[in-house]
Amino acid sequence: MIRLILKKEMLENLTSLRFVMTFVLIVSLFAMGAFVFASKHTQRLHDYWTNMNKNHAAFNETADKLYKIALYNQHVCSKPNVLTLCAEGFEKCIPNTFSFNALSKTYPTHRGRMNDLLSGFFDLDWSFVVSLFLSFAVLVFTYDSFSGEKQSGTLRLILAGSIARHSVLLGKYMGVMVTIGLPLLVGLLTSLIIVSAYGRAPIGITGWSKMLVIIFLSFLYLSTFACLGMFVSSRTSQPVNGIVILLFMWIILVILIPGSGRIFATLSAKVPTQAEMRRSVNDFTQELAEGLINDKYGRNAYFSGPNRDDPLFNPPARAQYYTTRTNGVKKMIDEYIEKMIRQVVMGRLFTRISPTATYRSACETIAGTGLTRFCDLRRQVADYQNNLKEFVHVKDAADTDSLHLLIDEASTAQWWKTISHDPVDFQTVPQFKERTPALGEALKEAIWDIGVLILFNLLFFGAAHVSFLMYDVL
Amino acid sequence: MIWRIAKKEFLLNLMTFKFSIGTLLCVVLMAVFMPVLVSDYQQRLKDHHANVAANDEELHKVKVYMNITPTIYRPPTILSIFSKGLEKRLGCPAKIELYDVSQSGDIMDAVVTDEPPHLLSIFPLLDISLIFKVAMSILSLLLAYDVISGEREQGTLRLMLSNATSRAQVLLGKMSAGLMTLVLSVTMSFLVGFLILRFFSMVALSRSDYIRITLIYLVSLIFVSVIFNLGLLISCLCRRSAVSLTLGIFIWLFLAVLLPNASACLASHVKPVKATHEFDETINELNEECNKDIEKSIKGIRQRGGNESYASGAFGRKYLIICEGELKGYKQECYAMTEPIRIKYMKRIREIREGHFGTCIQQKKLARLFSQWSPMTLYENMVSVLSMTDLNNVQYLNAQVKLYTDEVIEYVRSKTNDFRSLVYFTTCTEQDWHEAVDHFLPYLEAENEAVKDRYMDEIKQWYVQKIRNMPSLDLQDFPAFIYRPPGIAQSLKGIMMHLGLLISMSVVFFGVAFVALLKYDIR
Repeated sequence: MIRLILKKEMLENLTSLRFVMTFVLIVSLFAMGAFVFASKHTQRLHDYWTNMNKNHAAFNETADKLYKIALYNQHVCSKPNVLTLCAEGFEKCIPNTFSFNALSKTYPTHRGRMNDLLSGFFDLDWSFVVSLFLSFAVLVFTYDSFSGEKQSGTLRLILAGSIARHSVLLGKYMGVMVTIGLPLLVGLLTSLIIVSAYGRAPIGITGWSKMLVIIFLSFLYLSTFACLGMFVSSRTSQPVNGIVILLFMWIILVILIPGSGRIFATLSAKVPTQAEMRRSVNDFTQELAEGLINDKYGRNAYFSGPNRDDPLFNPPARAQYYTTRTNGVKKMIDEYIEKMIRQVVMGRLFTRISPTATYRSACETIAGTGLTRFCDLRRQVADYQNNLKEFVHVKDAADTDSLHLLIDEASTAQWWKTISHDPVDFQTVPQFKERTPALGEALKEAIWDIGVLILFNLLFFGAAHVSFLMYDVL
Repeated sequence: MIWRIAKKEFLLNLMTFKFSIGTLLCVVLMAVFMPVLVSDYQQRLKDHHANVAANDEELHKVKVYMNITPTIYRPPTILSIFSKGLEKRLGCPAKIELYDVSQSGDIMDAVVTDEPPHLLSIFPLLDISLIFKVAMSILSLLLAYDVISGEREQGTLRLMLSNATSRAQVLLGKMSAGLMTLVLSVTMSFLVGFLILRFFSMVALSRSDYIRITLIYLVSLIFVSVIFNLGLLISCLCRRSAVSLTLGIFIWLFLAVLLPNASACLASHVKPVKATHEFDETINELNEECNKDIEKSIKGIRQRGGNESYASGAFGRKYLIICEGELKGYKQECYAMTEPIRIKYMKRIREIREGHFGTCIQQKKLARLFSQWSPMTLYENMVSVLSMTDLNNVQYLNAQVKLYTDEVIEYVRSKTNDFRSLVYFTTCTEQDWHEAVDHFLPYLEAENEAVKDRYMDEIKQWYVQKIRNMPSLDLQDFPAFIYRPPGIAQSLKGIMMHLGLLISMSVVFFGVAFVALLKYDIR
């Protein structure tokens, strides 16, 4: 019986104007998004490799002396991810370049072709099309599931037979899901064909499996709205009231709640403003400079010059000053970034009452884009920096002429040999290589979001079921 | 007859579920978000005052003219709660520098000079205009979609037209009723928002702010009337209200969501901006050229060496506190030659940055061109102009910053006799140098280590005292940056084209609806 109802629903939906409009709109959006992505991806890859090769070549030139390797300022960028086709994650706004040497670092920045005059707009990625347009379309298909049939008198005819209400409910639910699944799958296929035709965005096995998970999440997300639509339809006797309620709920769930993430974030956690941060760093370095003159780090730490044997100079004291400064600033930068991340996470936590925010967050996590990627890359860069420092430390220990003081001051490194001047085989120097998280890791990170989506589904389906059981079909 | 139809329709609308829900939602959203947005504004204002105070404090600490690198902060505007627009860009501080300092290879210098990142950009911006753009426009559409097609389905349309009532009268009556209903909703929402803004949040509004808020209200009324007329047109084209509803909301989705985002996407594809690395390369080349020019210019100067010592100064910069006479003379001659060159290259780099920003503006304008067929975009642009958070404001501010930078450079030039004066780069006088020598000589001549240490302690004490007692420059005549926001006349000029387009849309939609109704089969 469910199959019969499903067949009937599908035929009705597939021959309706709303299906034609949905199909054309969705497939066009996926196609447009794929075209724009493919050309942008090519450009981004070109920019990435230009930067990385330049960085690598300049790094290579420093191999004649170990201290140059230690103090060379690397600029590591995140590699363009083909899965930004699925969930761009606002990567155009998030810092993607980390600048550091073996001993210190500065703030991560954004380097690319960003136009911050247009940063408020979404890219036409899959999650945008699904979260905004398909969710809207699902409501258009479900707002009159029960109220429409009640108004036309066919609902009581259906239920006059020996058909259980839950069969009707399930049949309608599956009918909507299959109907909406068609434009979704055709759109996804179109998108993949266009991207593959460009040939410059190879998707590995991990990429394909992540895409499958994202497609599953999309169905889960759309199912939430299907259940919501059926629930509202079973609470109203007139379809027009149902669509009014659903449209306004859509505005709140899809646009306003995700849009208020910034407000929740700023209310939940106070992060220093950019100007405050600069002032704090300035004040800290000035305070250290005063301590330098007052011999806080040892006698004559203040003085430096070309002759390291000059009794005026005190390399260990100067090293202590520099180490305190470097570690202090690193700590301030790390704390600032941690606070920012916590603030954003809190903002996102509040917006999780919206299935849209949950879905988009889950897609980003699976695709390895957005904030998740930034945090992961930051960890990888920190690990690499430690490895590089360890490498320098080990190589430096072998040079008896070096003072073995790993400090971030180029002049004293050159004059006093605080770090060894021995040449290094560049092949042995640790190189940074970005590691993409495996599917298992991504799923582990996204488990809460997936759980919340499943919960929404169960909640709304349960509510629709209970509501329909009590629905007056006359 | 028109008035009778309008009255009947208006009363009917007031009793509908969609009107109650829609208006209630708009009022509640206004009541919820207004205090939050105002609180955010107040925090930004507090941060602004703290930044300005800190900047003034630094100015009072300046010891030498080359360290004058103030930062300009534009005060946030209360009207940004109506439209965030480019407020984030406008809120960015602008550092005034006599020359480009991004040449140091020291990563610690980058920490002090670079802008810390901010991750909140991943959240979309929420403002009052979003509530109107989305919620109020949906309400307008819901009120209009079944005005004709619904009456046709119910059979009341043919009854109405069987009397001596012309189709034009019916349409005008229904349009008037719809607009009156929407005026009520918009006015209620605005009133609630305004009352919260004025009386609960205790925000001071100027006369200009009141006028702008009134203009935003009027523009909002025109906007909802456009959407209503669009719904009316759809209703006149469809025979069934279900079809007109489906068509209406898909068109709404296209205009409100797809067109603005797709336009931005397409614009970035059609007119891409330069990558940061290309941009940096150009600037690095210019810096290298600058360094070569500087080297060439000081080649003719007789090199003299000597001892020197720097101290930390204002704005995170160092200044020369102790300097041997010959070296000081050499530096003085050098600065007289090098500073004009640096400023010349700073201006060239500024032109490149402006050129890059110009490309960003062109991309933004292209996106706007693509999306201006959407009434939502037109509305948003107008509210942005009236809230002083639009692109023209950004360009206006940039122009003021540029003028101010030139003013600061001229000030420093005039005070330092074209960078030739010692006060440009050092506080060290002959007396200071003699004092330093008097303190260092005994240290250098001492043979006993313990005695050397004692002399070194005295040197340090003298040095610390010197830094503490060093007087700051008298900058009472230093030019202050006064941000002059654009006047209302300028803002009105800025919205004229969009207003014209919006009104034309309304007229066209109504006109086409009228023609469609004339041919409409009412049976």
